[in-house]
Amino acid sequence: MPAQWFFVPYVRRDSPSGRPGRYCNMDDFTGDILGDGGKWAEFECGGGPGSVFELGVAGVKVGGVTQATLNLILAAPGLRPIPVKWLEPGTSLSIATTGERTFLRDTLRQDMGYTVAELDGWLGLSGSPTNAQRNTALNTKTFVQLLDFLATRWYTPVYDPAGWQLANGNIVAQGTPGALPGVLSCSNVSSVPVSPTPTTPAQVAAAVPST
Amino acid sequence: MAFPSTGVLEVFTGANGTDISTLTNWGILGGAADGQVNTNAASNVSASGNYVGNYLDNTTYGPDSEAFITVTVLASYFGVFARLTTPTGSYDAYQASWSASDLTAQRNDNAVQTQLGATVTLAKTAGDTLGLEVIGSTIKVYTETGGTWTERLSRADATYSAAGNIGWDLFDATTAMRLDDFGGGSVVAAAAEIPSLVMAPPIA
Repeated sequence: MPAQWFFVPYVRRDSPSGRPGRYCNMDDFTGDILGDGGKWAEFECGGGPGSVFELGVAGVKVGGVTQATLNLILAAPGLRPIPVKWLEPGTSLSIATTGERTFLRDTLRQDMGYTVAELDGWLGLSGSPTNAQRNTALNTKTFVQLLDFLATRWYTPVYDPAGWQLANGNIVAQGTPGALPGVLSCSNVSSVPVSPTPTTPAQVAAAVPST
Repeated sequence: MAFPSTGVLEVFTGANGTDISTLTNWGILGGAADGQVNTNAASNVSASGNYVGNYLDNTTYGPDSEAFITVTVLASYFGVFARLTTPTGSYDAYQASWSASDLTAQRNDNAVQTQLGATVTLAKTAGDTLGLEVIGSTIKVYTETGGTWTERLSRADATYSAAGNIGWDLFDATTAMRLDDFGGGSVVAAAAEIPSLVMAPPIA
């Protein structure tokens, strides 16, 4: 049965007691995943204000599910699937297509709040490298090394009682009641990051079957 | 290792209306109201709202530590905490939460919850006990029904590794909920098994 990696946003879900909280959006599919006899696990990475994932983002591996369940997850908005051929941690990124490189180098990196300078640093490049040079450097990396780079830091959630927040995470103007009182986000991407992450990509890779 | 390795610490005996924080060694959890003793159990009857929480304030436990509590009258939500630091304010902690039929492990960062991994669907019945065990970077949630403990979920999280307090919280729209028999502490490692020596009978 198939397995796949995703990058998945955290979504607001407060405790019944009213205390602010968030959860990994993959939990919406827990019933389907467990129904197949599969499982999923996550590591926290990046996100926060200035990124697409304001409440944080998780790298998630899903395994032991049917293709139907996988298709259900793939159809969900906001979840970023990783090419299936990169399933195993040791997979060389040299097999990436041009489009996949662009996705990694630009879209995913930026959405998760990492700068080009940080990417270049990870790739061992200095000065003003071209994208061609970045692609060449990517060829020397493995999938788990990419995940480790994307897990370089994570940000703890912060809560601001002022203002209101909708259930979809959007902030409603302060003073205008929304679905959830208070604003939940991650600490700003410019703040001091917390490292290491609570769970590592390698732990997640090992915890979820690949078949 | 069998869970729990520790025993009951508090049975909430006292006059109805007694604030939990006035019992020996109890403090009020940050952001929660003080629980009250009612019918010799912990309740969310409170002067300040239906969300209450308390923690043992006389000592810290762990870092390998555990906590458990029994729900004697069902209601919306209750939980237990371990590795709880800054307990009266914006606390950090690991938590087992049981709301409706959703069982989860949570990490609290400045009193903001992050759910660890998947939700386990499990209905609760009166008399069930909820348990939390934190050993190293492994967080486990257990439930006990009819005397039998079952591990329900296991999560990995290395954020908080220091010793801390243990505690509980509960919420319901009504004040009928009751919790009892709070226990926990530093995890007691199982004693090493001493192999038995079987003597062969003497040769006649």
